Amino acid sequence: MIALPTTAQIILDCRRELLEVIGPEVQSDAGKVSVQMLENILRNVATRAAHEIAWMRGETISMETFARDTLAAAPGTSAISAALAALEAGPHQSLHLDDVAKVYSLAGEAFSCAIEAALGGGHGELADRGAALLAARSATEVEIMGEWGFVGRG
Amino acid sequence: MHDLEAMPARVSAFLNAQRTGRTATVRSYALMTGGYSRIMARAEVEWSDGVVQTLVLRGDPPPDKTMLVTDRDTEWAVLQSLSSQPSIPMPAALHYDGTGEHLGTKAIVLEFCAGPSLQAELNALVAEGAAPDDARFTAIRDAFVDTIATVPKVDLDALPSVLERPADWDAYMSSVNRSWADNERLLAESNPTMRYLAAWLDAHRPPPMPLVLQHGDLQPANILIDPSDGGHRLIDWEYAHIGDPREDLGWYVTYSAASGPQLYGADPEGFLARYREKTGTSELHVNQATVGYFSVVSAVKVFSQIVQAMSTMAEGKTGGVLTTYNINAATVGHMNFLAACSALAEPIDALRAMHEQLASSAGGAQ
Repeated sequence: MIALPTTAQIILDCRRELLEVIGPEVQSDAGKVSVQMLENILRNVATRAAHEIAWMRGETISMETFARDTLAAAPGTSAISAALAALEAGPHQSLHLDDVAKVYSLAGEAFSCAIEAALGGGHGELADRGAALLAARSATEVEIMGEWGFVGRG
Repeated sequence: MHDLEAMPARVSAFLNAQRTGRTATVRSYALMTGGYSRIMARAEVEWSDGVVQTLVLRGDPPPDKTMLVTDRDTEWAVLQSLSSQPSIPMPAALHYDGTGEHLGTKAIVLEFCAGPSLQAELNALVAEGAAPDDARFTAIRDAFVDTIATVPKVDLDALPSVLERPADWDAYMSSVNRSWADNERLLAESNPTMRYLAAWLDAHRPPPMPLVLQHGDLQPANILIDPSDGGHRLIDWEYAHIGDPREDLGWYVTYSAASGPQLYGADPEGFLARYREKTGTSELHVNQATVGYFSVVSAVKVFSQIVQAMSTMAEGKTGGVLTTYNINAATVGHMNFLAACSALAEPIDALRAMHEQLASSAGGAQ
């Protein structure tokens, strides 16, 4: 396949075309709002395309580790066990985006069950660790978002 | 409602079917921007007695373009009941096509308010470089708080039966907190933040308050300034419900974090002192910590619909630029909700302990 320019570079070039060529030709208010939204989306998508597989794989490991540690602290928590079993059955070997996203979601379910058990069971240290993982997840989302505000409101 | 050629005749026919005693002719019809959830249009109507009137049509988008799902029948019932409440400033709700037979979709016809929104007024101040401590911001804030304070004063008995009446505050909070997790389980992908919020909110309940009417989407963009008297007109009641009075305050805090300028964030104590004065509430109940708590609670309906729309899109059932654009609204939500949980656990637990101590003392004195 042709790998260069990268997907991110191609998307950013589409964004430039939108802003410099298409945008000035748009006359209606609704059309102008759509152009602003599309500009933002293309910027976000470029960042995602460049990093999303690496980011999801890294976070999957952290979430699975947390779920296993919580299960060790609260053995017999069936929801965590079931979620971990589903995660183990996921398509771990594949790097195709759909498969990586599926495994990431399965790890997220195991993590969710674990953090519920940590909060509900009074495991303060685990609850704090889970909150820190969520904060790191949020930081990745913010990096993708970049500058953002509602357009078309008011 | 998108068919600009056909709609003038359809609106005319609809108005003439309302038996107003006059004949209507729609002279112009145009779609409006500004709303994220419903289709909005503006129609200039000339009546047979010579009166020219501007009306607003508020209808449902096509199902495959719907991001936020609310019920027009309920909204119409709420608008009708609020029209009889003199304390609530709002444009008159005039007619309703409850089947979509006339207007192509269920649609409410409202009186048009020509004024700018409060958000537009704020944006103008920002554009001219007004400093955050400019007295004009304070004046707008005070007027905004006064308008917010009218909503919980509505007599619940006057509201339509379609609005759910929770059994009590604890039952309501259990239900609304659990809905974070319930809504997460409907999504195409897991969302650990939503599951965490459900568990965290339930573990850190603030002092309770009597349940009241809440607007559900109180923000400066949903307040129009009537040019005839400068008064505020509250619009967009689609999320109205009976709930905790701090929800509308919390929702505004969430909203303004993403779309400033922040009338609350500039001076939270000044904002809340005025609210308490206007509503007769106490500092134990209405304070920065409880408003922070309800900034998370109040977001569940809109937030869940945003991520549900993303989920439906992922399943190939719907699409639209607005759905994709709002992925960032989910990002802002995650960030703010987690920050709130991190900051609020200690103060909320202290307030709850104080409330229980006071309740225990009052019980012991009897």
